[in-house]
Amino acid sequence: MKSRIKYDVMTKDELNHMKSRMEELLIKRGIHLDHDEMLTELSELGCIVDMETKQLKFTKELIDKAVASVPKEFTLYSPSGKRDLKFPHPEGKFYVRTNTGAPNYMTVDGETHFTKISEVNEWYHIANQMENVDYFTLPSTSGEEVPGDAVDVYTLERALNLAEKHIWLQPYEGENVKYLIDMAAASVGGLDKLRERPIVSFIACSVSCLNYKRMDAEILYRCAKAGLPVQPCSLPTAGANTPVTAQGTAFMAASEVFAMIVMLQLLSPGLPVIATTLLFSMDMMTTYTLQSNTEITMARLICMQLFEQGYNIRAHSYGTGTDSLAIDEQNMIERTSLIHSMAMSDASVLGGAGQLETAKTISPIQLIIDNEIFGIAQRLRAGLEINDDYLGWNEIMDGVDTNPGFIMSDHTMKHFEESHRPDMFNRGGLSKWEENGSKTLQESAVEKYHKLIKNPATYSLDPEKSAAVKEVLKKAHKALVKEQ
Amino acid sequence: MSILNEISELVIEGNIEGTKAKVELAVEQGIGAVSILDEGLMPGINEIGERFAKFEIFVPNVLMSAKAMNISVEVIQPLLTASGAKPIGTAVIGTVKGDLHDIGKNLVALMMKSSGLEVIDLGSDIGADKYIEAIEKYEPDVIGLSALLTTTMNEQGRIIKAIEEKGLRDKIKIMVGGAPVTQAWADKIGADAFTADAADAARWAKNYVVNK
Ligand code: B12
Repeated sequence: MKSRIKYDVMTKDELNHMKSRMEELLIKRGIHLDHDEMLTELSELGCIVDMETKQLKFTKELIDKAVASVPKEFTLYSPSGKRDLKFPHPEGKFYVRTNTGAPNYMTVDGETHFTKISEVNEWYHIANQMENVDYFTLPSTSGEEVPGDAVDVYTLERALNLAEKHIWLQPYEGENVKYLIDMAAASVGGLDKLRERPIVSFIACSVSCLNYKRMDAEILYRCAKAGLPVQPCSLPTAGANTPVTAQGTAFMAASEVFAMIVMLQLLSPGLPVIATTLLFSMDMMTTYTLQSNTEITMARLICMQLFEQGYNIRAHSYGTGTDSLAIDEQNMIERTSLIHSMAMSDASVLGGAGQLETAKTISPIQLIIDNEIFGIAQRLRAGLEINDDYLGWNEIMDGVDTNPGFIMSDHTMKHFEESHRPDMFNRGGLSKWEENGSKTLQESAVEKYHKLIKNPATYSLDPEKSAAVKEVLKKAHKALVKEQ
Repeated sequence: MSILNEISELVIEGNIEGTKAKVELAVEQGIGAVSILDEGLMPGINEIGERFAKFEIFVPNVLMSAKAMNISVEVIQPLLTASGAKPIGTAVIGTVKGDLHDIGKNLVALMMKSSGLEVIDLGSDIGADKYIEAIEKYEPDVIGLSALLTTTMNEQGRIIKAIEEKGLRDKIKIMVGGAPVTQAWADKIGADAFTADAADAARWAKNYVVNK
């Protein structure tokens, strides 16, 4: 089933205006890139570079060339081979990923603290079993649990051992990137194998406006060299480091991501990329960073349309999340209104599963609830096709409603299993509900959690590869951890 | 309305040019610089502070008012210096080593400036050595350490230790903040204060230097 309903938040003229301004920005103002090797190489490829100020400008020809070399089809592979992700989604759906980077973990009992390594294990065990979650990120393990200089490599070691789905990697230090790549390579039997079937892809972030710090440039450069997919990100905060208007923030985020895509394509034509605009805003009264501001939801829609329609480049943004600190009503209103908008956008990936507190906390209970929400959203994205079969035309004309009624009609027999049924929602009457303990959704999610946690692991890395991964971890530890 | 009241109102409005012109007029009329400050500018900015604390106005309102105030203070500065008045205190602020998140730190700096402190902003990715250098050079009352990552908040502790080892700890108050930072963490690493936002940070610092 192809997706049918799409919101176009921009008119054709507005879309073209965005495109031409974005290109003009990269041509006239350019970017600041803190990476000499990369600057030199991009200069040789035709970019206008000032090595002293590290400023780089693009030309229209280079931009066009880069856009033309973005692959229209590619696959992000899964360690288990069970959840390989073909882009574009063959059924017109979007892919769902978990939240990245949150430092806090809210346990099943509702206690929140910095993420422990045992909780990373739990997270993958639960996430493996979430049928509507397609790929994973790294929880942000506390620097008190593992060496602070190497939380990313330590967490990836867990992920490679336990995660059956594709892993999207967020490095924390420039020097760590090499080890993250080596570790992923070790888990599949070498760099060539990793390039052939990338089971990991990377995050590189801009610093608004149009700055690329050493670490992120290093990520871009290394991935381009290793042939690994990148989902370049911009995380602007409207009103703080980008224009206060949602439009201005969408524009800046998209431009920053676009610049990264252009650089990657110039360095490594055909490299799989997904444009990832993760927009935030600042509350102008409290200065608190917000994820769920209403205008910013629309700004995300702008970015999705700009990349998917404007350039035929796959696009990715938040599909869920909240500024609430609890699994409460604000939380549910924010995440469901966001996903309903985003499901109707052109987005190829929607993220944030399991997060609350503006991307600062993850919760397995929230993840289990999000699994339901994404199920509904995917169904909405698919839409409804109109034809005589779906209308039930023949049975209506035959008067089936009077005899024998629809409950056992052929048409019902054909279609009754199609309707989406959330697993945990109350679908009985009052007496059944009371009989079952008058459970709220959150209580049902806790119950489900206890069931899932007892299930045997759905995946574990083969012991030989696991040992190879451990070897890289040891090397990384030696090289990266300053206070041994 | 007296000219001093008018100055207060202009500060509250965030009218930069208007405040400056009115202050110049007051000086011409022979009103003392200390009166202009204490009875004109200060009541205005204090009112803004209160309205902000009650969530009646937005951050840009505060910043515009503070700018109106600061530009006007420059006008009367030579007169103030002659009469012996100085800034209420000095703060040194930065984002700790390994951390590049500077939005929160910038806001803290702005709000502290707005409340009358002199602020030296060291920037981001700042290690103990640079803090120590700044403490020796500027002799601040307060220093602020911002950290946004669970991986870099340890650096706050390291900096505090280094300052202790240098024998400078008793000269200053150390404030810590940033998204993952809590009061418990501040206690653990021996900081003097934690605040959850920039407005409270400025209030704490001002309160400390005024009552020192
Ligand atoms: C914007 C942002 C960025 C921008 C920063 C731009 C900039 N110029 O600062 C960019 C994209 C560059 C970035 C990069 C990274 N980020 Co970031 N980022 C954020 C985000 C979305 C908002 C932070 C922000 O600016 N808030 C707005 C300000 C106003 O709030 P604030 O900083 O908390 O400050 C207030 C108070 O804390 C207090 N305060 C602040 N400082 C001080 C100091 C004192 C003394 C006092 C008293 C008070 C005080 O007052 C302020 C104003 O009221 C947060 C998510 C979030 N919800 O916070 C993630 C977040 C902090 N980042 C995160 C991560 C992982 C990263 C990266 C590692 C990701 C990557 N691979 O690129 C890098 C790290 C780079 C580095 N070495 O520093 C994680 C943290 C994970 C962790 N383990 O702690 C978060 C939570 C997001 C996430 N889920 O991934 N990030």
